[in-house]
Amino acid sequence: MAKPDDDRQAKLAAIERQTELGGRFEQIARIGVSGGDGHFSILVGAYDRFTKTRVALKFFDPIHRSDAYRWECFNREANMLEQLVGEPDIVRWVAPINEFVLPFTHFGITLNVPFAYYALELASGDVGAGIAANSCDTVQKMQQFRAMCRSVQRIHGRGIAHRDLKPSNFLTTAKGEIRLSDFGTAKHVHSLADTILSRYVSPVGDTMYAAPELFAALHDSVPSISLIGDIYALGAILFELFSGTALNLQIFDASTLSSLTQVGNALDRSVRVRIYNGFISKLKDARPLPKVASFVPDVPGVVADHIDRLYMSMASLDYNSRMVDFQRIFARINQIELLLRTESKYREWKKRRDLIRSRAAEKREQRISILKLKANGVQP
Amino acid sequence: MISAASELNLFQPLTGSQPEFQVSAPQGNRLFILSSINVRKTDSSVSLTWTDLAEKPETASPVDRVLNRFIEEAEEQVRRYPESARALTNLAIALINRGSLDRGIETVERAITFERRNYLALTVLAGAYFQKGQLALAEKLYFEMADFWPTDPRPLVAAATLYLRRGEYDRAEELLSKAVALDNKAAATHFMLGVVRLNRSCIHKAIASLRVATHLDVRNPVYHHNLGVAYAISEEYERAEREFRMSLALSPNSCESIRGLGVVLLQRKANQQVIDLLRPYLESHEQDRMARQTLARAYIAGGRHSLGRSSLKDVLNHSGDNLDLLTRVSLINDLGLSFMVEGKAREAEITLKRAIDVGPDVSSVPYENLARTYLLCLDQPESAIGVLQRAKGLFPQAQITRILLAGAFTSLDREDWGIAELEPLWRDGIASRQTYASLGSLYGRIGNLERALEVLAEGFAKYPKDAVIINNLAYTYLLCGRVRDAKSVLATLPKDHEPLPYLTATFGLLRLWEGNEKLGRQLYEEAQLLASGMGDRSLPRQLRQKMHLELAKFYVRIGNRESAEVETELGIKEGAFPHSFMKELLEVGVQLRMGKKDVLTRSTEAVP
Repeated sequence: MAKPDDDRQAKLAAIERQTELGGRFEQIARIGVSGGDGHFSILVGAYDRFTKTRVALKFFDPIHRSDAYRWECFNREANMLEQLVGEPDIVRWVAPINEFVLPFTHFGITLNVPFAYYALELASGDVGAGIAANSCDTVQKMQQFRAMCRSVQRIHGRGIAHRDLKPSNFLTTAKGEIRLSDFGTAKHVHSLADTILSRYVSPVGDTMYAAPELFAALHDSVPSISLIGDIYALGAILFELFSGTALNLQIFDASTLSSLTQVGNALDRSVRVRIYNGFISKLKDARPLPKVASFVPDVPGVVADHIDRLYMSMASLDYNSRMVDFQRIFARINQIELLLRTESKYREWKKRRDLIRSRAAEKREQRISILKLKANGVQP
Repeated sequence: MISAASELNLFQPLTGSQPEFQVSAPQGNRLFILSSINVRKTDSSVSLTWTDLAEKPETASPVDRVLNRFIEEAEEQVRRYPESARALTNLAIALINRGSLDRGIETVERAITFERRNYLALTVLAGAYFQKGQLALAEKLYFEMADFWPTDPRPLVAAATLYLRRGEYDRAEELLSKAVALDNKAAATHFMLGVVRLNRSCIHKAIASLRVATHLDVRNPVYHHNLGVAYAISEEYERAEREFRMSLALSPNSCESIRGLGVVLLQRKANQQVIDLLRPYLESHEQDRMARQTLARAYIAGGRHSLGRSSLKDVLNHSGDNLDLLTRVSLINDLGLSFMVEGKAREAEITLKRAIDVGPDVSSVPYENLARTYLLCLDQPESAIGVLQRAKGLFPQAQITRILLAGAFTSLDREDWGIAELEPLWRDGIASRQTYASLGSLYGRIGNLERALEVLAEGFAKYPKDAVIINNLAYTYLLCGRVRDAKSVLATLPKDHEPLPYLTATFGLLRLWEGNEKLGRQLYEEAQLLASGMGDRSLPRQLRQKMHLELAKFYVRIGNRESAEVETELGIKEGAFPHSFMKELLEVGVQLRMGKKDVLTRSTEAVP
């Protein structure tokens, strides 16, 4: 396992040795110890002389250049980000794909290795890190979630399904803003030209956030189903923001997965959706989604049920009953934020109300006892 | 004085192995039972067996590929955040879901070193210890959690689960009561309380708790399923059926509920419904032993003995060494029972002896069925007594064994020995409803109607819906001439009670006492018809003889001596056989000749 690290190290060192790239990028330095966590990409930071800011350069790992699917994903991501320029909440595209070639000698053979890259906005972290460190309070979590939903709403508005939504793909900027990134698996759902694979048998992105219908490969039959899959992933992220654990780990056991994969593998595309629809509504009833409070005891009681309702309606196992209308999603988020804002005021009001009630009760008791004494002929 | 009612519970022929159900945990909460429990009802209690999660070998099925992808993704998170308790806990969950319990424990222990108060990590670790059987470690963690989060009832519930497993029911119930005090709206707490009470054989309290759970969380199929199990154990089969059906409506693929419904339908004698339910189910679940056994029993109960036996043999042959001893014995017992019901007494004897040889100290049921074979089919009460004495030595708590022993003594006209068998159970306050019914009946047989009424009235107070106790009490009242009392007791019968031959006969007797000869005779004839479908060949004859005896007594009461003599003659013509009424008929004949009406109507005198 040490060799790939050495390889990555060599590639990083080679990139860092470049004093200038594309006539505009300088002061190149890796992001993190290993230049990001991507299996197929290497991330470095650089100063952009044009924008006069530090940006990120995303390199396609040259070792995977022969993998046509991955190379196509890299190109697609750059193109898609370029199309999305100007959209807030999406990581900003800075410069198109460029390439330089470096000679590498391996076992006495020298090869010219192409290093392709494009530039994008530099982030300071991601939501995944926040979840891992449990560093945000409830209000911050809801603010982050709102931004995540907004970014997905923007790409859905353009007919793009992200297909790999997960906390680590929501970057955070130095100002604390959220940016959706990693469009390598994104797809224009209404465009046939955008299809890289001829057939899907499993979810495209991270399985930990994949909707059940993607395990059954329904996106292979109906590409637009990926949009609803994105909503599921958002619901799963909301669950994880508060519970600290991945939803799919809690609900997908061997028997459920067995049924789902059977639908995906065994059936003809034309009948797959019909069979799946018959099966999933029953599964949904049989597997009620867990409450967030089952995993953490400190979710504020005033919003716990509302958070459960929101995530459960977004991550409903049955895609037919999933809440996909962003206006309704934002209305629910507003409600939760309002409750959080007014919680302290509500508590104070409740305390005052109880005090007034207890005083009124005391006075009533006093009046009754006076009346009783009077009735008995005793002068109070 | 002989009570025909006594035979009902002594020789009810279709007593297979005890019904078995599976209780599973509610989904989505790692704090509650982490493995399923097998619930088996015995005649005196309820026994629970836990099914542990075993380490699973690595395979390459599509499901395992997905589970492995979960692990890879969780490992990726751990690489990114090596000191995050959350990331490590997620990896541990992924590993445990995949069946790698040891690696899961190791990972989550590491998580706790980074964050001691991580609720989920502690929950997962305690749960993993629980599954591994390291209960002391799990207990320590649950109490640590209860200290960390004193207002949270869930660690208490989890600790109660642990005590339940250890058999410390008092402590389990105590903790659950505390948990209810902290939060009485948590369905899962009431559910656990129900399970604990089920195991303590406090069936009614268990039902109450499980009902609360189903009301608090109406859409959870697991709660409905478990309420169904509790109803089935309390022999409220109609309600059990309703709950299992509800569970299946919410979770149509629940194997446990399908099996449970099958068992309940079998108890309700809806044999064809069992076959319709389980045959298609078994096409896709070939390995489901319990369902196959239930289907075989349905075939046998429906008279399709060879089909039932071949199903049972299939299970026995295909399961190999995977069957536990109790299941093996229960399967062979069912085979023997099938032979017995079909009237193949010798085959039944051989098979039931084999069941006993396979597991001599596993269950009293094969002994009881062998004794029934001797008593009902082979007319060998001495052999039955030998078998039952052995069973009694091995299973001193089995009340059915002692009831059968009392029955065997009775067939040798030693009712006093029979009473000596059952009376200690009554005196110790541990008598089951069958014991009440049988002991009351035996006192009736020896003419001690006062004691018979005492026993049966107590039984009736404890089990007011038990048809056998109602029947025996009403019958005893009729023997005392207390027609009105008998009528009021019979009026308490549940509306949907099963049509039983003895009960129909008792109604016939009531009509005779009311002076309605035609209806009385008609009901007795109906009882004979019902009896002929029960498999005990001597029963219709016995009822016919009883009808002649009671009609003779009726004619004596109304002064129709001629008809009384005719009925006595007809009764005597039925001949003498075990449990016959020959002695009483001869007595009536003698009294008729001597013209002593008062002796014949002695039973009309009220017992003080």
